[in-house]
Amino acid sequence: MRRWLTPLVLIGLAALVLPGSTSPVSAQAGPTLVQGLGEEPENIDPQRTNRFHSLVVLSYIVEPLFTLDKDYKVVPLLAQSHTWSADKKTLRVVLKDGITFHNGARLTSADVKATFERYITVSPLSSYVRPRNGGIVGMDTPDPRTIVFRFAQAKPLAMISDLSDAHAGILPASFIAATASSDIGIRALIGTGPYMFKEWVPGDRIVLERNERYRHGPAFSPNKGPAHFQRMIFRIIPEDATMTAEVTSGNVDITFDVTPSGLQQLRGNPNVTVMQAPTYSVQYLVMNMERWMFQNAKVRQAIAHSIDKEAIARAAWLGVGRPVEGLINQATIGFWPGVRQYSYAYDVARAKTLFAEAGWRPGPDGILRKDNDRFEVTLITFSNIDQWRRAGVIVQSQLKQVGIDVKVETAEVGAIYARAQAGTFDIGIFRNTWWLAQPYLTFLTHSVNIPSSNYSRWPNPELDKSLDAASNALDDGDRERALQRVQRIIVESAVWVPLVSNTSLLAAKKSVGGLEILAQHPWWPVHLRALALTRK
Amino acid sequence: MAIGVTLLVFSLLHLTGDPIRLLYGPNVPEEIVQQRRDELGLNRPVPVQYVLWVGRAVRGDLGESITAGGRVTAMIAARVGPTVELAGLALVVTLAVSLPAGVISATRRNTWLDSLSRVAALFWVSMPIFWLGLLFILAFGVWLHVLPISGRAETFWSLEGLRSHTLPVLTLGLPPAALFTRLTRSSMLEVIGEEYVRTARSKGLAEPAVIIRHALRNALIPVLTLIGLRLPWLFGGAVITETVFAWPGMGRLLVDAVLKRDYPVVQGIVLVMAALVVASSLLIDLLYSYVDPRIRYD
Repeated sequence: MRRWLTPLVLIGLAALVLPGSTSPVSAQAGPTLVQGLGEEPENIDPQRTNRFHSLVVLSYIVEPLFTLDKDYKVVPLLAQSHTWSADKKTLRVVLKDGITFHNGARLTSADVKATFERYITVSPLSSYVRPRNGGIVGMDTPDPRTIVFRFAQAKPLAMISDLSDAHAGILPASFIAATASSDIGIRALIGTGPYMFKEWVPGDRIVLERNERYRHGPAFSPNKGPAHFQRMIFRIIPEDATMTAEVTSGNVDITFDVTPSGLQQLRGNPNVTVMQAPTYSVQYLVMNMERWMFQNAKVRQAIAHSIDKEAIARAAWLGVGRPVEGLINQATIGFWPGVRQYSYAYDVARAKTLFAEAGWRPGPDGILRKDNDRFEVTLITFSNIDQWRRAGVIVQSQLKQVGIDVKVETAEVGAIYARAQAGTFDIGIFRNTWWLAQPYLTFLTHSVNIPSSNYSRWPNPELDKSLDAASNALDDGDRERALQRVQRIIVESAVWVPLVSNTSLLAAKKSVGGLEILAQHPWWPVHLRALALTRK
Repeated sequence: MAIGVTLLVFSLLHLTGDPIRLLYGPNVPEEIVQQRRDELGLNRPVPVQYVLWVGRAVRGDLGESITAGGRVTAMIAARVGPTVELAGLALVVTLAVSLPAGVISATRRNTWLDSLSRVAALFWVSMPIFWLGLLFILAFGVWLHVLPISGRAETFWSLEGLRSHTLPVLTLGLPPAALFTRLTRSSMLEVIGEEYVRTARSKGLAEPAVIIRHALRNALIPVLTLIGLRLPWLFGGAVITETVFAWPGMGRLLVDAVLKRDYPVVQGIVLVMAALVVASSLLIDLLYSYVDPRIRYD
């Protein structure tokens, strides 16, 4: 017995560790693309989610009426044409002929109507076109290919903010009616996109199958359909180090969830291509204007001059961030490059002069004092995001140099937002990501959003007026000028100090083709990811 | 116990921020946030929310996930299997390593085998699970390319299944083996000196029969006690192991839910984990009487 036992054990162990696939769902040559996903979507219901990773997956399955090209110009996708009324209160959209859903049903205006009825009711992102905000008050379907949106007020941004957004991706009316809302995007999802929902193994993977009938890719895509890969598998890998290991070992074909530390390792790998693209994410510092010391503009300007954004980009973002001058950056629609001239450059000497002019003098311990007050503040930021925690510590150190004693308090995102809304902080470092200057800047800086999303607690009538003008302008030129005023006021005030904008990172196996087409589109639209990527 | 644990978790979670604002971020107007809070009943007083949740939970309905919108019961049902499987197999590994090692260490007391066992125990017990998992990934997945780095094959009963389970199970099972080895050794040393062991030897029984049938069986009582005490740790360790190995279990669902303040999911998982620990402890109690026939439950 013992004579046989040892060889049997050895054979078993050998079989166990025989070189082979190093992943249960491995990247096969040919029909399957394995994409690493750093966070599992809660659901992929276009109308109920506003989470980034949900958007990434659902954008392969459902499509909006329009989409945006690399210059952010609205281009037709499911729509063939559109016509605005002169007062921008009525929008007539004609659908392309012959488009079918994944279940074989033909796309009609009734589907668009049913989808938008759901969108304006349940989507957290539909604020602009909700009826109570002067949005959609009626939709007419004069024929199966024509839908007429009627707005209570002029809604000139509706096409770019809602009709081009995958969150308003069109679902079949019959599917909406027959499916429990809590099952949409969890058990089933039907759209017109280049991939069809096949399977979701919770915590492990989401599997999509190619839509063989797909032929209506957007004009900017060299491949109009169908997609090159027969199957798209999203593998959910939440741990950064594990994701890096999977990419390094070739088990994941491509991932858009590369961390700055992972980037350092992947850059040196000859089998991996790494690409970067600008994002509209901005890390910014905001002062709580209910604190008396910040009410003096010279103090705020001095703080802005004290912050070396390059150092934050280098040390907190490990080189994948870049200093920004505005609260929105060049990847955001409505960004005004002229804002740079109002930005406060890193200049410690100038900062010290401004502090002195504001009456703050260094005390015996080097900390600024005014009368009997010592300049000590609390800075809050996110504990669970490395780049924010590190930025907090760097700002603490930089402000110490000019004589401010900063106590950094970190907590998880939810707790920090709660403190920001409660106003129990002096300085905060937050983030925001949105691709449209409006309504983004309104959320962040308009007095009506104090304290829900405007954490400065600083009502400024001039700023409000310009924000309202940017929202309501019918003319593109008027809107642009209003947005320029908004950006100037924000930066000049120094209530908000823009810090760093990071880049999107992509890592792919060398065998993945089509990356050069992605590189031509700075924000890597999902349609290109679906249609252009191929196997070399 | 279940009420105490869920009440504590419920209270703590409600102290740490608004889940809807966290979910939607600052770009969503307050009116929409309020609408969702109303839909989910989050605007009601916290004690009322808890009582309503308990009322539903006793009927098997753990509520609706704040973030996903799906039923919590279904979400947990999809994830409980992989966690129980991981923890169970890890326990098997723990015992498979520690019992022989402890017995050898005791029967070869103060030899090089005993010293090796002590050093190995110190090594494993000092190794954080997170770090050990990453080391295993580097060694067997990245450098040697012999075992999967992450993910879980559908079934354990296949070569691919066995391979995908190997690293997570070893990561979770090896560190506690050190503690069990030391306990088995000391327990065995106590038992080996007992008169009934000497009697068994004097009757001419072979040494393996003496050790396994007479000594080890009696030495297992404290080991069983330790298993009972370590079960919560095992489920806690599964949370970390599942994250490192992208294992689709309940632990990862719990981490995600805690970070997103998804109260119903957190409470549901805590309840299920508490039930699992209670059920396992009951099983341990029953095993006492099997291992030692003198123990009887009337």
